[in-house]
Amino acid sequence: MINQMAHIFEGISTFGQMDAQTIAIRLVLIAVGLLLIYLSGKNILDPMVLMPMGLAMVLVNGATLTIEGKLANLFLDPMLAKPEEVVNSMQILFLQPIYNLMFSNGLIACLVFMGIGVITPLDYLIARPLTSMLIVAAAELGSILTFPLAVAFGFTYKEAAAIAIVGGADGPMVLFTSLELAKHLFVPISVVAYVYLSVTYAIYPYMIKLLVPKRLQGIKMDWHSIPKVSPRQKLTFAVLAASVLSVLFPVAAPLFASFFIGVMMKEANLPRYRKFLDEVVLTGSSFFLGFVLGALLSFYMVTAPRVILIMFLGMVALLLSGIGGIIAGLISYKLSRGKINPLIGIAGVSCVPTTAKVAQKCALAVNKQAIILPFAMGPNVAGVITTAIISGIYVGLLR
Amino acid sequence: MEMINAIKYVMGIYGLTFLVTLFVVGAIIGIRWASSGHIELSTVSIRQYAKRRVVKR
Repeated sequence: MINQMAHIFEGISTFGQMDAQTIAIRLVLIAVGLLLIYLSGKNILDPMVLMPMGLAMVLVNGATLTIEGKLANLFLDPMLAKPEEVVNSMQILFLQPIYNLMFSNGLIACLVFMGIGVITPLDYLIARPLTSMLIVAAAELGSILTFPLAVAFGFTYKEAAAIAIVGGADGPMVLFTSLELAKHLFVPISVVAYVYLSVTYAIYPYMIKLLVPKRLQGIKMDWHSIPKVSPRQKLTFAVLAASVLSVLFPVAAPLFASFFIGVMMKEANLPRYRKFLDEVVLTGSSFFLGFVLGALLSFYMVTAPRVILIMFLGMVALLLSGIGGIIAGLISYKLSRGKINPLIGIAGVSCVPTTAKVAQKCALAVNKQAIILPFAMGPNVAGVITTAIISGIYVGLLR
Repeated sequence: MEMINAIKYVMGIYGLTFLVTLFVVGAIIGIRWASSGHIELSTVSIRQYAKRRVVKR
């Protein structure tokens, strides 16, 4: 009778086949999944990626069963290498086709990037390129300084580069770099990146309050000072940047192509493509990104060594980038003799458009008339381009 | 020692990134300069250019 019950309720009976430590990790992951659902439901974390991720985490760790004597689930198995195993698993594991076709080759990163391109305004970047790009040069501190730190912790150069790029705060870039340089660390690095990118939304305002004097946070910026940028200029920039950067860094060409094709569809005034990339491609890929990443977070993936270290280094990378961005914002404020609100510095940490929104929210909290979002979008977009450049250099040198 | 090598390595990467970034800035300034009427290929300017070539010959 007990045996029959164990067969029927296999998710529960599999707890009996595990040691105490694995049971604890499994339960913690279920709890973390529930917490993600709760926090994203309250809009504290980004619900677009983290709500499906949370649900998948709960399900994949709950619905454990035995297949051919091994503990497994019917979601997906990222560790398959032999072609016949992959083909067999695609007929059994329901997310395996999506994982093989979209994750193992980086297509998911490109699809997300197309969607980001179509929602990205280039106006301030083209109007004030020097300010935007110089802010970003400082806001990439995390993607640079985390590299030697990771090496000091015993990671190889390839692994260190894949972890350091978390500091660029661009999900698709993190996916791309870890797939190219450290496929075995893809799951922990990308999960750390996406969870932390949402956490930045909650942490950066406190960092701003700590580092920027209150009287500077509410500085109004003059709209009329921005020269008008025509769609033709933006289109020319997109074509030129995509072509030249792809020639310089062929390894990152898929990312450049995806981002700038999104920008082009927007600026060429093709509403049907724009709507398709925004509403279908970006929404669909964000949903599957969250759901598949959650399904990858099963207890046997998380028990992989060095995950705690990756989590620590990911956090360090994002904090360093945030600090670098704020310092660059303060320098821009000084150089412009008070015309630039230093909060636009935090937008240099990329993560389009989250950090720009954070800057705007903090400015509005101090001064209801301080509209800085259009200005913050300059460094924000420049951050995407610069992170892609660093990612291209890392992958080109270390692949 | 390993960390110092890594710092040197990553500083090279940062320098290269900075150069490419400056190139992007240059490209944007170039586009703005070109579209502000400095190099306009109107039929008049093409005709003037052709005339100058004829005079030279």
